[in-house]
Amino acid sequence: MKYILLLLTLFVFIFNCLPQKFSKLDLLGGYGYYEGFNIGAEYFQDSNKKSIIIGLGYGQFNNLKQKYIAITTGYNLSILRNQKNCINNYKWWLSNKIVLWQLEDDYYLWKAFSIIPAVKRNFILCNKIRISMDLGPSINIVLCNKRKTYKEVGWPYHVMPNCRIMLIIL
Amino acid sequence: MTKVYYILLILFSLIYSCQKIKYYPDKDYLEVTTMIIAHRGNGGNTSFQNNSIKGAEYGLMYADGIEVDIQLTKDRTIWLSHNAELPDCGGKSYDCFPEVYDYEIIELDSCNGIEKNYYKLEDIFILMSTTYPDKYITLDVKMWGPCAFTSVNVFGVMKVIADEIIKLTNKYNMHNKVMAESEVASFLIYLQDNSDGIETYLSAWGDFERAMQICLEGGFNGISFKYKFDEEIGVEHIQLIRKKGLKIQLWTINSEENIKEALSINPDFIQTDNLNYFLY
Repeated sequence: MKYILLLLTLFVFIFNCLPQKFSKLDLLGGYGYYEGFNIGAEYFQDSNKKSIIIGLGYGQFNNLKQKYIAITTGYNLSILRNQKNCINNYKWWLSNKIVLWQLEDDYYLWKAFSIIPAVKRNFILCNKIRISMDLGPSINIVLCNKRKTYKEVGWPYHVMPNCRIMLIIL
Repeated sequence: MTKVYYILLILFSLIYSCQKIKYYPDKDYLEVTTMIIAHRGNGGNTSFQNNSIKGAEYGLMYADGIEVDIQLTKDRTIWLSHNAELPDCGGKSYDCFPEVYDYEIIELDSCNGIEKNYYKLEDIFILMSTTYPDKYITLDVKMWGPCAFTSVNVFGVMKVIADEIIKLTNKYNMHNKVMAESEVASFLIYLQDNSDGIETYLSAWGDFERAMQICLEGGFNGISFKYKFDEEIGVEHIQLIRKKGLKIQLWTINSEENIKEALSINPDFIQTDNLNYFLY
């Protein structure tokens, strides 16, 4: 059931993004307290009103190591208004992110996926550089787990807040 | 002012984002002696009917407790039966327990012949409270498919079952002797939230890890685990759940080899259809 949900969600995401004509590519890298370090590429489409980000991440918090691949679709809030087609106008975004995780601590190895709807705000530093911050709940579903030792019992939280800050180079 | 909100929001996220994994605290480790539970009351003795008074009396006499399966009628009476479905008799269809009244169960019983097939849980509670007050009873509450539209609210019916179990436990002062096992976590949560002295066990056919996590999250007393079905269980599993304050029932262990193996890992309860093994 969990795998069906994952495949269905991935299908909806990819179906939403693939038929579009890409018009612009940004490189980005950032740090999220929940996600750790991440790098990726962001493609814009439909006159910069929509975007898709494909990213990779790695993080280590205390005894927990994590790595992931993420697909994010973004929708500019100005889509509702008749604004000039200029990227600098697009500051507020809504985004949906799917993250496929591998989490590992001293006791377990988990494979999980998260759906992270978020609100994103871009801060324009100069013509070529922006800072982006997004915030939203991470809804986590464990796909499978493997126990390494019998010393502790734990499970990933089902819902966690996620906050990320990214540096974007245009 | 807006900047302050941003900063507070970020701080809140940072504080609550740092723990991805929820670890459950350790409890006092208690050594236990494994108790033997006669499965379906009679513990496999075919001289007595499953889920019957005579069978239960036999089980209570020779084991530490009994396990029975229960069903509920429209009169809110709990009867002993493994299946919710009822047979047809005398050209009449009786559908299933949630769809019939008590008089129909009695009617069906007499229609089937002289032998009595259906017994009330209350009769077992009377027997235990008067003759076997130190013995245990575990009630297996199974999920069933609704047999008619009027009983489609299965979870609602299960809450009524929980209410009736609580009433009987209070009426016959059976606190700390009654256990309920079910695969339906919402039923167990309702039962434990509304009762005192009734233990709750999550039935699991495998995936020990997930069952343990659900029990810890839901605050249940333990797991009722199908032995050697989908997953092996060893002494390390038992020690781990005991360290976390949970108990474990293993079912249904019948062969001599499996009984010896199960006893060696020291679970809290073993349900068996081979009660004879422990007698001779």
